[in-house]
Amino acid sequence: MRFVEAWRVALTALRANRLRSGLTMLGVIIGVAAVVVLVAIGTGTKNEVEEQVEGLGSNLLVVVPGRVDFGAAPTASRLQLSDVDAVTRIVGDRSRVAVTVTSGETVRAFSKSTFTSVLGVLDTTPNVFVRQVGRGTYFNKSDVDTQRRVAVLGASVARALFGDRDPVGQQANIAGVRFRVVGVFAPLGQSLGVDRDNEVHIPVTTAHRLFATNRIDAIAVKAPDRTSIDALATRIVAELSKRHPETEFSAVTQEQILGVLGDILGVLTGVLAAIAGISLLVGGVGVSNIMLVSVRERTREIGLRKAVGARPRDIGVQFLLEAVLLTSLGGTLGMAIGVGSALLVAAVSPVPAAITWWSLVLAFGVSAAVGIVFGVVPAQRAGRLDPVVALRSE
Amino acid sequence: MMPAVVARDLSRTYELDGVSVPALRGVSLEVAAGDYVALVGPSGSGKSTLMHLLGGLDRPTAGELLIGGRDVNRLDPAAMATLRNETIGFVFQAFHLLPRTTAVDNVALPLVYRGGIRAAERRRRATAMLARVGLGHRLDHRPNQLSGGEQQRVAIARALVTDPVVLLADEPTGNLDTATGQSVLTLLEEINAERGVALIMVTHDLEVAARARRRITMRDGVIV
Repeated sequence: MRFVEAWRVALTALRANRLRSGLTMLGVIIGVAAVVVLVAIGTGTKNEVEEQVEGLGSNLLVVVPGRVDFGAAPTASRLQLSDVDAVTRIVGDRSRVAVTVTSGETVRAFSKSTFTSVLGVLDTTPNVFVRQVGRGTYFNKSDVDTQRRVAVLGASVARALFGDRDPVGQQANIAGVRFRVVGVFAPLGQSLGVDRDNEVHIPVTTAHRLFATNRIDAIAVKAPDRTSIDALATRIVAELSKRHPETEFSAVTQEQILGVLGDILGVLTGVLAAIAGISLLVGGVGVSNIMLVSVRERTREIGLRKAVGARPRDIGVQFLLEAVLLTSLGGTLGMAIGVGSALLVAAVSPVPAAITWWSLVLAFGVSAAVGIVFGVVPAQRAGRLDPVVALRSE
Repeated sequence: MMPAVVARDLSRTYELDGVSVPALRGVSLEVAAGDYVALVGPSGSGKSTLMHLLGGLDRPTAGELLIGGRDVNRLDPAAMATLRNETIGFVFQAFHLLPRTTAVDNVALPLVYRGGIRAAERRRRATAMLARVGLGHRLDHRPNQLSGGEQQRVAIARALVTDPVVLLADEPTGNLDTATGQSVLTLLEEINAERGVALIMVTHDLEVAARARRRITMRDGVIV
């Protein structure tokens, strides 16, 4: 009964000061909404990046010279096409091995020019990675063998150089050498702010002559299935280490990349949530402040209640409930606004947002907890008021 | 019959900025059940302090105090609250009704803190008590819709709804005009007579004090 009365009194008190209650709640509303929106954006970004990494292809394994580690000095590659042949012998299927040698070059067509990454690759690339050619075709093995000057353009490069015209069959000038465009990739879009359509593929043999080098930057292998990835990686690294005893090699699997990216983006989401959490904390301080004012304002009421038999605990519970009611009401509104804003962001902007149930539970739980934590001090103060002093106050 | 209040050698000293200020210096008195006592004295004589002690709102610094047979010195704050709820009814000069709360809810408030009484039963008892003080037609009025005399009658109903042993009235007519004050006083006396509740009234009005069965005069923290 006393508990029911405490609820009734708390509701009455909040209703009696609508504007004040609303403004106090606003702090909590903004805090909770911020937590929900920012966590949604963080989670959405993480999901999108993971999708993109998985979309590269499946069961991928990339071998690079040097150690893949933060702070490790980049290692000049000593890999050559003969090493690729050795790797191909281990894999046993030429179509599962891809290579890259990359250089930044200026590409021209007609009066237009653009700076882009030019990748020397094998004709197996579309098989190893998921790359779809939108128009024309990819180059073939004989183009690679004969160092033919043919190029496949990324969608952005094609648009920059040719606009709405069909580039297939047209001439393009790469680093001062004339190439024939044989295909254009289907657009991939952006990933972490990087335009994935801003690249040009040419045969690796042609690239070697163009860049005046014979190095290979990386070798990618598509394993037949998930279980053979690790064994394959070990054998390839061992073979390459035997051929180049002075160089260290690392094999990176798709799962490792996903793990690292997931960790980074998880931290990012955590940081965003923490920043939003600070605003929730500030909202809690506001609740505490208002509750202290409320206790002072209702000193005489507290005195009277004590005189007719309210125990310190009865008074404390009443004020604590008032604080919790403020924050959980604010938390509920904040959740609704947060979910609405996240959906809006996802709908009208390129920023992805994914609402997770745990962020809602967390935000609401924290706001209710904030009410308890920040309501305790005012409630204790009210409960401990000396009834004689309280009744005397004007 | 057990006396309503027994006080032996009560003293109460306030500590103000490290200075001890004695407000009561050895007060002994006994109020029998159903007695009618006026507590008089100039301001600063200690009569308010004594009333707070007798009402279980404060504790003595030294001495023994039994209210309704219960030893105040043995009670913690929660038990003191229960003691007030079960044995004492307060009537204040300034009424002290809850604003935005109807007369019947104001009267039922002590029953809420008693616990274990259903809302319907609380309302029934409060309604009966309001009828007794002549406000059966004002149940759902709020304090700001009632006159001063009516507000004090609501306060009296609230003080009596728990069937207390002692009714403590602190200048109950102080905020009322003479005629209204007279009728409130008459009501208190009627209730004292018909219910056997001890009435202790603090007043500085000697005319009011003269109506009591007994008069206790205080000066400088002692009974004279």
